[in-house]
Amino acid sequence: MRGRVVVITGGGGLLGKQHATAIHAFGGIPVIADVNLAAARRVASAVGSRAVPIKMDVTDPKSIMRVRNTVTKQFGRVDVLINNAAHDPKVGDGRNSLTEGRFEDLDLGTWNVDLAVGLTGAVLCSRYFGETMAERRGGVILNIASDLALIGPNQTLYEVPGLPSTNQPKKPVSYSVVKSGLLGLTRYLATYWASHNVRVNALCPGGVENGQAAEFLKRIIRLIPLSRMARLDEYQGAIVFLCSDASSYMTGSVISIDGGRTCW
Amino acid sequence: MSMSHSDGSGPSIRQLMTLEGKVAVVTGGGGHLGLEICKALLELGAQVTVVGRNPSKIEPLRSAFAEKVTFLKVDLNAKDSLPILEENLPQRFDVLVNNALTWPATPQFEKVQWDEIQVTLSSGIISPIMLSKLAFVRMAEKGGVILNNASMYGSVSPDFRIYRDSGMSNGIDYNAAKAAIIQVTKYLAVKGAPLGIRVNAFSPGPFSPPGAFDGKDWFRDELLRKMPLARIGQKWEIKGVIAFLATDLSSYVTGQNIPVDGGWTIW
Repeated sequence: MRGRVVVITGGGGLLGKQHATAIHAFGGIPVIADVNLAAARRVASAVGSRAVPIKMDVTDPKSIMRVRNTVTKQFGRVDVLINNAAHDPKVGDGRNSLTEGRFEDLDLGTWNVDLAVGLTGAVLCSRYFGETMAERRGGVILNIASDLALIGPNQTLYEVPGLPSTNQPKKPVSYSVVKSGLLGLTRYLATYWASHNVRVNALCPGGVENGQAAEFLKRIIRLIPLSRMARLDEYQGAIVFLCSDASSYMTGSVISIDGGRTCW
Repeated sequence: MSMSHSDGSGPSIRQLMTLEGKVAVVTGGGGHLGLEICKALLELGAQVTVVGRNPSKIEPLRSAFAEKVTFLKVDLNAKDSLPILEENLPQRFDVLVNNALTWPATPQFEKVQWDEIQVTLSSGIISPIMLSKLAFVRMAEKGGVILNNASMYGSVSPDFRIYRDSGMSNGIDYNAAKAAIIQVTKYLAVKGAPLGIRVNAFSPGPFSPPGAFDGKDWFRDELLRKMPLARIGQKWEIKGVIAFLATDLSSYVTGQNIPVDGGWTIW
């Protein structure tokens, strides 16, 4: 990874910081792109001296092109793009209402924003950053999907005792659609740019333990052979593997790191 | 088969969903699901030869379908079943269902024995391969259909916690055989394609027979929690996939594995 320039979308988020930490530890230059510049700055200063915070709105082509120009001006190129940005609100938090995740209560505005950030954002970033990689005949795009790109949500995880069934909170459909869509994007781009030596792979992480309620944890670990959620730093190895030449013969691959959740 | 009609319209569903005039061979056709598989084929008009060890198990078929069903008594686990099959199976048949499997003697991995694994793999893999080899010869003229009974446990591992001490868990050799039959399905689908032989698998989930949970209600509850549909499959619920895969309803389907598992493998 030494000297590799890695643009991480949603870099100011929970996992974005972990990706950046891994890249930095192996000598790379993590460009922490986030719509929230303050968050990107916090992550950059925590990660290390080579980390670069930058404001980028993945839903806005002009913003993406601006970042591409800035980064290529400063470093000469972009080696790796990690499409990591996505909305993943905690179920039951309800940005607009308590039952927001319910399919019957689908809010078109929320859906459009979720798709714009998680899926269209990845398409746009791949288009602008991937283009320069293809021109230079080399690069890597890594799409951060999810175990929910492979399986349906188990909605019993989110059940609240005592609530009528019509008010039970649910994991929203946008998340499954965004993450499944990323697998399609992965395979499409893998063949599209194969002759230009741009490798495109997907990582399907399981949930990270991050202060969830005890009852939720009790329920979800029953679905996981390793009987625990992932630790925050447990995807770093995969990030280094998939972003470096260690995976030079891999493209179009989908790697699950889910404690075994999808193997039974 | 030719699907082109001069007026551009295809055959109707009813025209496609028939086995009238067809001959089918079903291994293990006397079992809990085997009987239902045979019924599906018979009800669609096929002549069925059941291959197995115990002729009394197909009595329910004899009363309903009389001379449409015949029994060939063979121990499919034994190599010397091959000449018997060659001599006694119909000279030409259209459908083969590889359904038989000898349940592993030892469910516990820690105690599994070499000879037991051999029995499971003989019945679950070697016998289906050899029968398919014979079927290829006897289907070569007009094409045909081979169906392999796989299992959700050909795709996923059991969650051993839910079995506790029920003794109802399946052995590793079961899962190995079922995973292998899924690959055999793909291999044979490619091999059979130029010959007009389609090869597909179906993967049942829990279709436990009545009484399976007597005194083990807790185990039943554990199973149901693993399934979106939250119920054990009723035996006749396997008939639809057989009707689909065995007839021209699926004339453009080959090399596939269709889960019939109440959603077990989707979450």
